[in-house]
Amino acid sequence: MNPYKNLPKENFWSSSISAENIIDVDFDYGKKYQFAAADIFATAGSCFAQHFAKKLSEMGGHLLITEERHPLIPEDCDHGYNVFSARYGNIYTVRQLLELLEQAFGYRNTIYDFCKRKDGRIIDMLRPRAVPIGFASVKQAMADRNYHLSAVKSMIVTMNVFVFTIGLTEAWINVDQEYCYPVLPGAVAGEYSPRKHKFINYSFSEIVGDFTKVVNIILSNNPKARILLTVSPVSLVATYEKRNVIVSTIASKSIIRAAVDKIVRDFDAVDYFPSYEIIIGSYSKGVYWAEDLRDVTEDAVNDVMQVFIKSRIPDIFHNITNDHIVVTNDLNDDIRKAITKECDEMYLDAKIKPGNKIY
Amino acid sequence: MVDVCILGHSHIISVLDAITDWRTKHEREIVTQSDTFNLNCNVTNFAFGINIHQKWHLSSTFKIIENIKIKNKNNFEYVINNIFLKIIKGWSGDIPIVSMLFGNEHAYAMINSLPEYDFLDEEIHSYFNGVQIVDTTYIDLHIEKWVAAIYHPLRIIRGLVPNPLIHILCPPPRESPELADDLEILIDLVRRYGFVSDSLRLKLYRRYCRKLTSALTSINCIVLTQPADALNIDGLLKLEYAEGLTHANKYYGELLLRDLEMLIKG
Repeated sequence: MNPYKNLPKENFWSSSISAENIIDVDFDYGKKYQFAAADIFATAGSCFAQHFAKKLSEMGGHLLITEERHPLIPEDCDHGYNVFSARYGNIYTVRQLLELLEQAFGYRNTIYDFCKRKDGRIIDMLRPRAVPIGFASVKQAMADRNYHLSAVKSMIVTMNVFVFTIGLTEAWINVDQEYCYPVLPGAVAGEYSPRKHKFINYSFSEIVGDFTKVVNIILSNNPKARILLTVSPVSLVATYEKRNVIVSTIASKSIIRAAVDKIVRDFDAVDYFPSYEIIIGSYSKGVYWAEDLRDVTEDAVNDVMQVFIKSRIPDIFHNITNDHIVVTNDLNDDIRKAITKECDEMYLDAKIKPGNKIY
Repeated sequence: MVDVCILGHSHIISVLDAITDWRTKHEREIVTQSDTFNLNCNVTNFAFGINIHQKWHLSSTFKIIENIKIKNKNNFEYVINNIFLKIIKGWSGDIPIVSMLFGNEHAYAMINSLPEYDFLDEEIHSYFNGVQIVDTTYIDLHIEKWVAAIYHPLRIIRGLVPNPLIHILCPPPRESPELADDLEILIDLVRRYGFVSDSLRLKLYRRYCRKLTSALTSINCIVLTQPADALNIDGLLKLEYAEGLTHANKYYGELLLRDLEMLIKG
């Protein structure tokens, strides 16, 4: 008896890749659950999560925003609202997410770590790119951080689905209090100091431990919530490990992917969507990579989201066709910008390259 | 006797009433004639004498000039045009020019039509926790527009004539605004949205006054503040000195004239 004999075609390589269009490949086979059109999504994570949020909203998904631009704030200033469900900016590591949730729910004291930029504006080092324009004063920055954390709390208790895209295992932490920065201090704002800042590369067990705490915080405050994990396909812009960045990228993504697999097995409420595999898998023949071979193209985001909507929110998918998903030049520009310029990590690269300006 | 020249918008009525019961004489029932207290209202200029017994009277040169206005590129109106400039030039000399121009630009900010918010002020430190704290950078963008309406006309006057220049700040927000018998042009908005908190009304007003005072001081314009007797312990306008939702009455005008006289006589 061959135990593979009666398995569905998705279990077999040859039949899986035989579909002509990517939309016809059931990458998401084996999923735990689907969503209704009325489900309320909150998103967080790396650069890739930005595109996910944007496209989900464009395709008719219900994206929760708990921290919105106040009408007194001009629309055209660099305020940083509406990129994610709250104004936390990119969250690359699970530790970063854990510390954010712990602060939001009062499980640890609020971390106030600010620096003054050359233009006099105050920058929150825990979200330096989330509020590009900065704050008028430290008191203002503190008040806004308090409000931000209340918005994060509100987001967790209100949403039905939390989508989190994990990007990195490498990070920099504060030596004294051991909290995690989204990006090396000094790359976007502030100043790097070997006495204050320390490199860390989170291990599989650390990530699983952090993930477990994150899931417990979410479910204890919102027992009906579902958590959907994805892994960012975007490669590391730089590594601090003594090895090639390509090697670090594969190591990092593999560790994250393995940790996600463990968490998905451990919790019924947690599931995985394979955007990572859609993009880096050999089926795509590399067409989703941008010129630098690190970022992904807008086509990649569009295709991933179509697969996602078809598989996870069929109510919405029935209402759209390829013709309806119009990607205008403006939108392409937006996505391109977001992919290539709005990643905190890019600032690390800019810092490293001689002659590049960083404000 | 001390002569002064006064120009202003609707807030000047409290002073006019204090001198002559002016509205009765001119058949204006409410402060905000033509249902407007705003930038479209008349510029009034007149000269009057005061003596040490505060026997105020309007001089024979008193007159009203209708609808003097000009719009700038932001569609914001300033009281600057040729007729205005001609009048000001005619005042050239050493008689103090007293401004009660504009002053109600901040009134819309008292309406609770926006999502809840607060801001951090350097002088009023308290703020509401749990509401969005709008960066003062953006608050000031709005306040600067209110300041500009007064600053620019006075800056032009400052350049035209050597007279001492005095600006009287508009009255503060009144206490118990819900008790106002006349909700003025804001009537529909008040009914629909109600008011923001007293503390926010006061905070916005005080920040506005500080910015205005700073701007006017820089052009050598003296700023006359609100009469202390007319304010309650929080700094809001007492009921007995209020008229309508945003204006002060003739008793307030009397206090202003008292302070003005003291200021002019040094």
